[in-house]
Amino acid sequence: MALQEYKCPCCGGAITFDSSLQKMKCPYCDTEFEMEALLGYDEDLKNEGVDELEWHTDAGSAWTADEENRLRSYVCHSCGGEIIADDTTAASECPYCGNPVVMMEQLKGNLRPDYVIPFKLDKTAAKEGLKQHLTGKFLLPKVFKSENHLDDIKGIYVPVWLFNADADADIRYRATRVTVWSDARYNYTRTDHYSIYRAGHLGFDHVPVDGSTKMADDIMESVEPYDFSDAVDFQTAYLAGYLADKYDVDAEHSVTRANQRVKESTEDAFKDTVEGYATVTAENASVRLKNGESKYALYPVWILNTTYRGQKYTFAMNGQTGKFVGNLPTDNAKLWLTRLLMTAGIGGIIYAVMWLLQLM
Amino acid sequence: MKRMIILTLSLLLLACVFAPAAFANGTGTAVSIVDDGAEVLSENELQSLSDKASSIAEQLDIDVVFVITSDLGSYNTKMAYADDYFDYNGYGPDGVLVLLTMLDENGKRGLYTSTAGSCISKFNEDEQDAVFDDVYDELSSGSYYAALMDYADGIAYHVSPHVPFSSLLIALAVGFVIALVVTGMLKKKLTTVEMQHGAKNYVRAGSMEVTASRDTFLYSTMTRTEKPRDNDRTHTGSSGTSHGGSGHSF
Repeated sequence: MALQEYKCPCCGGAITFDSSLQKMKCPYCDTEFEMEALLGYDEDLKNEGVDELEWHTDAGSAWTADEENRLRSYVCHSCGGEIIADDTTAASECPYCGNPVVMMEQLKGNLRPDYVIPFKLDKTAAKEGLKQHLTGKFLLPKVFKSENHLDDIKGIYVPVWLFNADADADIRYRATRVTVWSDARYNYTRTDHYSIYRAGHLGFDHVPVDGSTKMADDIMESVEPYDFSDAVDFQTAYLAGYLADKYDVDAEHSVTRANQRVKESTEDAFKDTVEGYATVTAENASVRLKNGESKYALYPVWILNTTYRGQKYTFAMNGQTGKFVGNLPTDNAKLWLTRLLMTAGIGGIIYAVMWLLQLM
Repeated sequence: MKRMIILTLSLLLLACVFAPAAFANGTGTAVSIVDDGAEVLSENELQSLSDKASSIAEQLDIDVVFVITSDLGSYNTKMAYADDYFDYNGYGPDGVLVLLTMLDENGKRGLYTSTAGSCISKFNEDEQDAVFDDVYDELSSGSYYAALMDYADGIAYHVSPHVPFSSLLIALAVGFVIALVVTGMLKKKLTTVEMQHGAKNYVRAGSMEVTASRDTFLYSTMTRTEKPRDNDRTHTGSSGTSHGGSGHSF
């Protein structure tokens, strides 16, 4: 007869059946369990698996000879940035580092994008976006607005890998429910521990991952989301007047980030179905991806570079939705003055209220 | 910001204006008495304790009563003796009575403080204990006069409006924490570039399906903590008046 060993969900020790209690009891921590509870818990444990995050990364296609003739590739020998433009657009300086010397080369190799979301907002909108971005920020140095010098504004098509997948998930959570009551002398707190199991699936469409090392990943994720319903099949005509970056991180390498985001969202979504508990912590999550496929697309971004007191600040605007991002400097003198005055002000008010309560 | 400073300063000013007013709001109805039935105080000592009691009574508009007795008479407890002495001699509604007896229900000397009306919360049990601790050495060595004089000072300090200096430090600390939270939120407005969590925006609408769902109860843990003592608890004497108070044998 096979000997079934159970581990205590509370302390991890091996538990045994206590015949006098007709229950399972842990000899180490003295916790008692109903038989059914342990069977259910054991069932949850058996469903634990490993993540299977496989993708078919066959995105993009080859450029046609005609397209290769109409496109130019520019390389910045200062930062290594590589951009594509059609033959009517001359790149005069590198959009990433501002170096004015860019070498024109014949487009070669690489993949042709599957989709492009065309620019919807123009340069004027980007300038207006910056102006809006600088208003209503109390701790921004006042002189930043007047002293910062807008070096350049560039509309860039940033290469992104888009991942579609169906995620199958088995997730086990540990949850607690807390009951509090009291009698004349004591306050009581009872914590009930539960093992929660959820399985199901969830679909993801067009999860974007930045395919360019020159375009910072955090900036690219911050201007999200893009509305994919505006995306169209790629045509070189959309590049006229804009620059396009060439991907230098391939789909196989970008998939790690997509997996992470898909897994986070899957765990979050299933956690939302665990209701009525005080705390819920995921103990084990296995996410398996089915029908994972990737596409290569170009997303529109306005990049604005400014200089303030010798330091460069980069701003980015979503060329489709107008979402504007970019970190700003803090006025440290103002920060500490505000803290000091608030401490004195609030502290003074509290002290005065203490006096008023005494006098009443 | 400027408005906040002005508001603070005016509140502080208000406090300064009202503080002396509170000290001088005596209506003249407050009475004080020192009843030395046990005759442990000299004539001079009795006089100066009476003077101190009446000046406190007048200043704070409360009744201040000191009773010194050789035993509890027909009473079983210091509490009952003290409460009834206060109520049946027409003191109140606000006041403090200090009973010193040479023989209490425990067969020892005893001190009991009975409070009434507004003094129940102004001079609570913790504060009574603190004052008792200060005078304990004098009491046990038999220096009753010095002990009662110090006790009178303790009553005056706790009943009169006062905010200890440590409260100012606490107030400033709370102010600093709030300032940190508020400036933290203002500072966060300057940071708009960060990696995103999850891919919520890209979940296919209606694609989520839960195929299995099981909630299993495992076990319970229970903790018990003693309730904090209520500082303003009161009892009702035979006259039906509420009193606060505490006592010690020594």
